[in-house]
Amino acid sequence: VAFAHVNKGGRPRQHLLSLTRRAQKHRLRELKMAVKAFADKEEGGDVKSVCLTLFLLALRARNEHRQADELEAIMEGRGAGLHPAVCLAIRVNTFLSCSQYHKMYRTVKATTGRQIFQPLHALRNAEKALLPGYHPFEWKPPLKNVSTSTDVGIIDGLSGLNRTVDEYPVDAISKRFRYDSALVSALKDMEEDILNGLKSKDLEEYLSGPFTVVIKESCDGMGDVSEKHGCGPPVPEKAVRFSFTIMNISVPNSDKGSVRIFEEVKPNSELCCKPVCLMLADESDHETLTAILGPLIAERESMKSSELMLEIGGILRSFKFIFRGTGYDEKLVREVEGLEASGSVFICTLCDATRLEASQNLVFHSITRSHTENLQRYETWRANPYHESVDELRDRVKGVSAKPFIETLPSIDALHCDIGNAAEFYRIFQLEIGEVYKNAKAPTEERKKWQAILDKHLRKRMNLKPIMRMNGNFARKLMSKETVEAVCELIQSEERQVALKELMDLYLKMKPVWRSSCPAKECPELLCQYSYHSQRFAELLSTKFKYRYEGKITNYFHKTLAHVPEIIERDGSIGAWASEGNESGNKLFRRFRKMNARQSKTYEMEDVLKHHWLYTSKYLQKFMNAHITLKNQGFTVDI
Amino acid sequence: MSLQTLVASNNTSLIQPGFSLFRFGRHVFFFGQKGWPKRSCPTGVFLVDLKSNELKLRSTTFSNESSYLPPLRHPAVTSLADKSDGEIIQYLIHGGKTPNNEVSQKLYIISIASAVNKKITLCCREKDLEGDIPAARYGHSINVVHSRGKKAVVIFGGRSYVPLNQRTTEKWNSVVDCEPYIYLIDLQFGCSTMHTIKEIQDGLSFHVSISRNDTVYIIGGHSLENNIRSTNVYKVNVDLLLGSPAITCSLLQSRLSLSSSIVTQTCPDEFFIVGGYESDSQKKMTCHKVLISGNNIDFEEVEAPDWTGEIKHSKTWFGADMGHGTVLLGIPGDNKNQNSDSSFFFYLLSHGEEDNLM
Ligand SMILES: [Zn+2]
Repeated sequence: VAFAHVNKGGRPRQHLLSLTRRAQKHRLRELKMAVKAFADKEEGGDVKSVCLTLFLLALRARNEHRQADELEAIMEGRGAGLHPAVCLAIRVNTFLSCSQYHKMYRTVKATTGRQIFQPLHALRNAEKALLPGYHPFEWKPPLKNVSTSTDVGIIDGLSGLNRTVDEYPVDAISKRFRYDSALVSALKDMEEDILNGLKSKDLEEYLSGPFTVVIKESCDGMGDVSEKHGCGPPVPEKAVRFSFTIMNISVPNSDKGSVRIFEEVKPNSELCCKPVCLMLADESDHETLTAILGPLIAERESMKSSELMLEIGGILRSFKFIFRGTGYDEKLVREVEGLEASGSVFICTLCDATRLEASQNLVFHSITRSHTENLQRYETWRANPYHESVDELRDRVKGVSAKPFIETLPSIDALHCDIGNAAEFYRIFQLEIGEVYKNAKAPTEERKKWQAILDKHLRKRMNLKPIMRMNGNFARKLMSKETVEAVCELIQSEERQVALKELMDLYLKMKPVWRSSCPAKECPELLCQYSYHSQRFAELLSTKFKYRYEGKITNYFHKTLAHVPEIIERDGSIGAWASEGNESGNKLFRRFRKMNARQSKTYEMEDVLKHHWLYTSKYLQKFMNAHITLKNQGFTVDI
Repeated sequence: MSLQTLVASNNTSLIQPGFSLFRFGRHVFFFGQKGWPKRSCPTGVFLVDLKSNELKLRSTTFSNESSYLPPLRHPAVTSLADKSDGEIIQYLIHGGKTPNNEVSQKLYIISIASAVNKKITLCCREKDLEGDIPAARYGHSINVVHSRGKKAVVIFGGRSYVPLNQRTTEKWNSVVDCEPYIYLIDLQFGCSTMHTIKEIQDGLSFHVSISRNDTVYIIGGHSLENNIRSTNVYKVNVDLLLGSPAITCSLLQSRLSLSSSIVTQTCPDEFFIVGGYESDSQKKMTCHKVLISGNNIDFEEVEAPDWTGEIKHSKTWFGADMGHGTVLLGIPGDNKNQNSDSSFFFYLLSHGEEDNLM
């Protein structure tokens, strides 16, 4: 039988997989009859075996051995063991090292007589397909300055840096993925979600694209990650991680503009914050940071003006990317955008206000800073074209005196805003205990005493242990109605109590607006009232708390009061774009380093990066969840 | 040669390999700080204060006409003296790596703008170049030659990133030697011309260069492509004829294999070469006196100072010429965790008589 490529009526021929079952039946009718005839003649009528074998051969021919192995296992009726992906998910999620896993595998095999867990090599095969560099792809036009090879896995983050004696010494160790192949791997990992998303929006017929993918970028130092073992003096080891989160994917739609076919429901979870680049380096070592992140940023810049061609659901489709660098704390934003450090009179990374301007006008400011302008301002600073004095020049460039090297999106990092504001409330509490509103001049010993009183009281009443540095957990507990009531027990004046309680009350009404992932849905009323609340908060600061806020304001109070509505209008949310996912990835780094990495400086970063990447696989998470569900229903073995 | 150990204090954590020093009269200035300049010293240029073996850096200011040049690592630096009294009046700074690891192709000129009761203001101007201008580079050399009552600037060697059309992100930081061309710049008009020299075939970086009248001696250096430190000395003669200048080059031998060495001048015809590396794994612990007389250049090994144990054991070292036969040397500290101001140890290496600095 000859299968001519029939295209009746000249309509564009649709891909087989995109058809309805009825249409598929229709299209394959002749083939099915031919197979049946063959099976009857040669294989005793076993159509199923013929089809399965054909499928198996097709998979093997395309090197899709993972699927082929699964199929073979099903055919041979040995589907009783755990899927290799489940085993891998278990291994990654429970931080088992290879040898620990192997021991468990052997023990289970010996005691049950069955191969419930898969051997390590099966896991290795499973992980290959999940790591960047496995799936082929193409960029149109090809990425500028990025190699066209697609089978690129973990590479050296120093990117060919010359380390001979004459050159500038860089002693950092870094491993990374190429940004584009990491994005491809992340998209393939969520292939099913993309296809389901299309289905749920009745867009199964939407094939080619472009799909618009919005990426949140985060970068942060992890602080001291040194292991406290071995001999010799403890050397601080600083580490930095650059990661991304796929926030949403949408397709164009004729009437509505665009339709979201995927939206990350937990954008601040460490489960979706995917690591791209790890380095053992200090984030404030500018020379090293730029040497390592420079090539990554070059890849990102290339991707902005190109489209990715990638097979999803067996069909080649095109993807466009929008990168939004919001997951940086203020310190790093200032570092990478060329602004002065946080103590500067130019207090804001979003607008040009000085500390004085911001304190005189607490609420009305709009976002004016941008990466492009920062670059222009640096050039103005460097060239000093108007022959100005350093102060005039500095005012002209609004404190941009270093050349920016990463484009960030001017925004508020909700996590650090929370922490920064809590630190300020903690200070206000102390000042209220010391009655600074009527006596501003108090010696340091006095101030230390107030802090001790506050710490003791918070410990007794709120079970809050004193901390060295404000963190997210402490901030959450401190910023509550209960805490302010407890603190008021230490304050004599009723008028002051009322003012302090109102300040906290207003804050607690504002906070959900910039913390929630979708304030329009989660707290629409508070969103409407935000401007009203922020104005009242500002009024309180400039009247009752004048002793602290006359001519002064903290960076985060300014952002909280002046910029929240505009950003929510622009992005729909502030909380969703926070750096929390990256932040909670830090504890993963330590665990992976301890549990899963080879004890060698050169290999450990590679192992940590690989494990962290697998940890963020949606594909593995699904297997893990299904396994847990089954386990809870008593269908499978316990581990 | 004598060696003094310095105690590092104020701002010395900003000193890093690739820094430069300028000397105007009694004052020495530091340039090429780590990171971008901060509010405390927006110029990134510091006055070096050396009193009773204590090393301090003090912030300086620029005049209103100045450009705020970025800190540059391994730029090419040379001084320009006044014709009448031989006092240094300007420093030329070309190329170098910025804190963002970009390689600069700009030429800056630094001079003293004013010095009123101890308060010195510097002036830094960007010099626009035109013609065949040398591409961005670092680890190269710049010298001034005099011929027929005129002067010209000679730029040679150095490294740069792989050309943009061949540069890929996986090897984004890899560098190559620049083509071994000689660039001549007329400082008055900023006009640059490029000259190929058949005697020089390999790219060269981190070499030493000494100029005397119409001649530049290019000594040692490292070729990246074949990873050698050749013992060649190129004697480059520049004849500034009306119209087009004539450049001739002759090849000499020094028996010295060196890179990243520091050269300091003691008399008009006498120089010292110290520091640097003999090979990838060997510091150049010997010191050499260089004598230039008429058409000749002579190298003579002189007694090295008593290197400290730390210096002997350190794999790397770095430094810069402080003028008057003095060199500031640095080696990495043994532990970055120490509560010292700096992660480096510093030494002052002086030739002959105790030079009363500052
Ligand atoms: Zn602002």
